[in-house]
Amino acid sequence: MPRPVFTERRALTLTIVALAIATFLPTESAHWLADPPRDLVNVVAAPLTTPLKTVGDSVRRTDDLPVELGDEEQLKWAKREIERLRQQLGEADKQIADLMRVRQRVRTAGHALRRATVTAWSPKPAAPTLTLNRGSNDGVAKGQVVASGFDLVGRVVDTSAGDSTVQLITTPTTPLSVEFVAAKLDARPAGAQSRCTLEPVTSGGETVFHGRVVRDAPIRVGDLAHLADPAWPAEAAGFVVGQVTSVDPDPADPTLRRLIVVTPNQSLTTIDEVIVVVPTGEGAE
Amino acid sequence: MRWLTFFIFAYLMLVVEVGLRTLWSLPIGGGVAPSLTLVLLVFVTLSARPVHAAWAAIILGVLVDLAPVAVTPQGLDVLIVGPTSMGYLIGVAVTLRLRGVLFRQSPIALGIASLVLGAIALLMFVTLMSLRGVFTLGPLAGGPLGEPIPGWRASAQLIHGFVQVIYTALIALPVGYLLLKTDPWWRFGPTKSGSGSGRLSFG
Repeated sequence: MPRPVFTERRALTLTIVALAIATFLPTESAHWLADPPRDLVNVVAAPLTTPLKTVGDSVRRTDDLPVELGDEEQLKWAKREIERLRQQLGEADKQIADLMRVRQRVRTAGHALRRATVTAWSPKPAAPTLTLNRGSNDGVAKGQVVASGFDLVGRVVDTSAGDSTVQLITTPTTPLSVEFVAAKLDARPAGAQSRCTLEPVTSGGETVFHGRVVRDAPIRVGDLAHLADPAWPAEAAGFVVGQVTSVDPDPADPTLRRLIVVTPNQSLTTIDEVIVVVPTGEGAE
Repeated sequence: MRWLTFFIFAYLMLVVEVGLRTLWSLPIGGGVAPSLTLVLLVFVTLSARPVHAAWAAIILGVLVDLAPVAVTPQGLDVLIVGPTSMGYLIGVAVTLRLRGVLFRQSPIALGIASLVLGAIALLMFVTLMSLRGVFTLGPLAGGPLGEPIPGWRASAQLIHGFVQVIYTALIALPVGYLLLKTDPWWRFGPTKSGSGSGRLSFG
């Protein structure tokens, strides 16, 4: 009787070889391979992980007085707790001030600014993403704008009940139309020539934006690039993409054009907290 | 082994591990939480046929690799399928050799085996992830040879991982006790004892 070609042990060997190859795949290919099954795992696990996370977050409180300690230790503990709460209050004041300034500067009428914590970031070269601890249960939906203070971070590209994924503005092949605004008041006239399209360019692990403008465009180092892209939701207009860090003759056409380099104000991969602009369904708030 | 039982338990262990990470994480090095999938793998390894234990290692390893977990203190989530499975496989191969000297129906044996399997899996995982810094298959697609992971430090990873393994071994005592109570549902069948009982061979 002929021995079957496909035995369990051979299948096991082949699987191990495949895993060894997958381990050393380049990051981009590894993500391409693993993204769909990860999404599936997240979707299947979310109905139980989300309530468990909620329970965990609510149970793990640190503001209960430890009754087992003596008076002196309790006093020390209370002082530490007061200091911690004072720091939290200071941070909350700063966050409120940031949100107020954003609300004054950016057209967010009819939208709520929902804070979210970044739980992970994924350095996919083709599409770097952040994972947030807010999902569809919190009103977060695909396409919504994500920012950090005034700085534009990206857009929500995927959501589950308790999490969401944000694609960063530094994703290659996603140009952004921006309008340059002087960071300080000067005598320059504002005009259509201060607009251009920026392309993300990654070099040495850092991503900046390159834009090409006519030679006499009123753009200077230090100007802020505000989003003015019709492909983005209206509420994204005005958020800052970055600051002009160099204005040099364009190597491709040095006599007529200039190359603008715009650098994001903060590293988008080290952000701890962001705001998601969530529609409220009301005309204005 | 009854695979339906395995998949149900794998799902439950994974969601509890991910869902309760905040609740029971220790405030060390950005938070250390136990791995229930590792406890499940040890339970299977101590009782199932070697080839089934190997499949369980692959399946649980892939699930862990796919779960959204930050692997560096900077919160970097590296999505690479393979390193955990390879680590689990090596750990299972060693644990299979040890199971002849372990009393399989004891939670303490589960705890000890969790230490062994977890430590070996950790060493393999850190080795493979560190190796990616100097070698990947990138040149085949015109990319760089090595792709270092931003913020990856093998020494910090080992320390963090060993604390996690010790924590897992402690958690393995109660969890293992509960798993042992479910033994009839698994239909492991009789396992041979003595020399060579835990040999894992391929091909």
